[in-house]
Amino acid sequence: MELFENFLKTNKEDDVKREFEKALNLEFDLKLTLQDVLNSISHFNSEDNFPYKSGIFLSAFAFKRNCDDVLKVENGIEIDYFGSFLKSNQITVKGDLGNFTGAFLDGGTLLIEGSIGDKGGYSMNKGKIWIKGKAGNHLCHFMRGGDVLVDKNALDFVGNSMVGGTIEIKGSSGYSLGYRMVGGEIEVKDLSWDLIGEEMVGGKITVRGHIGKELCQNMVGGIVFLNEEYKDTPKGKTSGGKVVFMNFRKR
Amino acid sequence: MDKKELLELGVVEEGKPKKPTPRLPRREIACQDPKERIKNFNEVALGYTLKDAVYEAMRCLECSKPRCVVACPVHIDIPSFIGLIARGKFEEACEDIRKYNSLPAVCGRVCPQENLCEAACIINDTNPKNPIAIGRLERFAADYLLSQENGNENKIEIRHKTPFKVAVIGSGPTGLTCAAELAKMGHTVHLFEALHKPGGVMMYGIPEFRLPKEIVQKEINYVRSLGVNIETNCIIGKTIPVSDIMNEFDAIYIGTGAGFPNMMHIPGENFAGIYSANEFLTRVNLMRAYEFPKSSTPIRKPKKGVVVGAGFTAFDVVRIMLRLGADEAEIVYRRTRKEMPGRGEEIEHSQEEGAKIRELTNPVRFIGDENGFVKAVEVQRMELGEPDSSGRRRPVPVPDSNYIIDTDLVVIAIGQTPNVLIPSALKNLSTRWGSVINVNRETYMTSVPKVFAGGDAITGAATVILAIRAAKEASRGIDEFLKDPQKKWYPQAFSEKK
Repeated sequence: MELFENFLKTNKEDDVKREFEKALNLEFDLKLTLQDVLNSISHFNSEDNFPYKSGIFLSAFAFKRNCDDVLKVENGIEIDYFGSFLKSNQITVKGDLGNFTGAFLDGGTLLIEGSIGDKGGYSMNKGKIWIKGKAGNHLCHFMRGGDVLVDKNALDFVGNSMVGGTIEIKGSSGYSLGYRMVGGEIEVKDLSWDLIGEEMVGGKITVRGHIGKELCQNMVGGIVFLNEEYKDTPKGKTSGGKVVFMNFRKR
Repeated sequence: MDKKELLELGVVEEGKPKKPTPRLPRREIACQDPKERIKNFNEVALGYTLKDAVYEAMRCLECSKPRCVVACPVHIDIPSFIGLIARGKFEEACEDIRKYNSLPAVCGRVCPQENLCEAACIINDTNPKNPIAIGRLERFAADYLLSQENGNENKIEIRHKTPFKVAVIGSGPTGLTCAAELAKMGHTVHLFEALHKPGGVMMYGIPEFRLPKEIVQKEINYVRSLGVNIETNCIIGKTIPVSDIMNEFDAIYIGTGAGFPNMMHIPGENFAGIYSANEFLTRVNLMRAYEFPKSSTPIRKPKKGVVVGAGFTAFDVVRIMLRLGADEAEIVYRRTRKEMPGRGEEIEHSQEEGAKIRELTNPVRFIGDENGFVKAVEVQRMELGEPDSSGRRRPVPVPDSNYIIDTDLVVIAIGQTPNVLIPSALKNLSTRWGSVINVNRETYMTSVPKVFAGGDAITGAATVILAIRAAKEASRGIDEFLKDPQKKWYPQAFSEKK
């Protein structure tokens, strides 16, 4: 596809929003589906900029087309920033996506029937992301609103500096949950490893399963609900906030 | 392996893998007899045989939401590599681990798995204290591959070679991992080591009976095979000025570890026969002082040794004392066994070998003889008070409870801090507590542009696996920086704040 080839050759903007606006100015053929576009550009996969440019390109196309769509991503194709800045449509992705999936999401729904890379839901405002596989590091960094649901595990730094919105993880999460969190809610159904609620300022964290060490270090505010089976876990130095141990099974 | 051999091992039945057997007990690892092993420096744990490994691997449930993966600091895909072992694909299992960790044979031996992946294993819920022996299986897979011809050579094709050059300072676990990760990303990597052999703490700090030096060198050869150029006997800031490095390389990673010992600052600490753990271990491990006079480095062989502290290092030291021929060797610790930071397996092994542990005791002064050699240590009893900021209960002295312990060798193993050489050589490098480098927790960049740091240099003394984790995250930060040095890390979030 010539349109994408030209876009790929343009200089990479350091601001994602400017790159997205640049892509929005392209004259897309809106009769095509997302799958048609991906099929026509996938042979550029070996280019260095492909993950970044393809994600922005596909997001801009979906934004302009503004209707529900289904996309099948084959193994070996890396797409970053997919679903960035979307506002209203629902997109179902069959396959795995790369980093910054759903970054700056502003509405609509992303249903991902696979796994995503690092920094999914980065700085999102509204909308929903449902990940049926696992999520990488830094899920929902700087999140300001919306809902994220992960069916399997998420890795480290979930909800780092988040301000609002909800994150629900049906599996486990790795190191650092809600680091410098200001608002919003995080719920982990199973284990969450070390560094829960470190330097937390506000919001709510619930971990129903096993927990690691270094609990609530330098916590200032907010509330953390933990399973009472682990109430002997040593708590770090706090100057505010609340840690509540409760029996989740009875409830 | 062919199908017949696999059938003999019980891996498959009529072409299908067997069902998981989590209810079976955990397979113990063969070890040297305690009476024999205190006479030599050979490795204590002998590793799994093929049959043991397959038996243990078949206990794994290969969960769809594996807790062990999130508890592992480098997030190795544990069910995947254990599944490969259970199916008899031992070489592939190690290659699978190497995607996440470049030093599997080292981590399989020294990583505190019982507090990490094995503590999170789901089998603990139904079969308590019987989790999958993940560390032992990791060690088995790595040893199997390293024992094969060309097993320590890289088989990954590096596709995109970039024009960037990166200097890595320090060849410990963090330096080697960062160098390996950057080399896999296509960058040219030069690794600088101050000592005459690469390996850092794995060479000078961890004893031969816990981590054979041959294994470390094999792992280093793997990193070399990725194209990393290793330069030894090179102290940055002394042999090569920092300005030369800054001009020649596009990015610099500081992985100099924590090699500066903490001392107690109590009377009599300067008597002969009182070593810091670093000096004692370097003499024994790197310079092979236990072979003196065959080796050129001597060491004082104790009759009754005392080790202050109860971390990993303290247990290594006490076990070395017994191997050097000490009649008695004991650990003096100010808290109780429950609060000990040492690894469970090491504590058990040291006790099997005859080491004693004196809990709730803290030295207050050392007593020397007329020749200036230590002959005793005065200690004070302690009791536990309220928890401190680390969450452990604070030891409080019991008044009028001092007594004397006779000794002829004391080793102080109460932790290490990073060396001040690099922070003092680099202007504007932000540090805390004098020598611990401050970094951005997202990118691992220091306050000096294009200089990154990781491992014990940014945290103080910690474990090998945490150093590897920092190196992996820092390598991503370095890669992003090299590809786009002007990049604003968080474009929209920052611009909107303005």
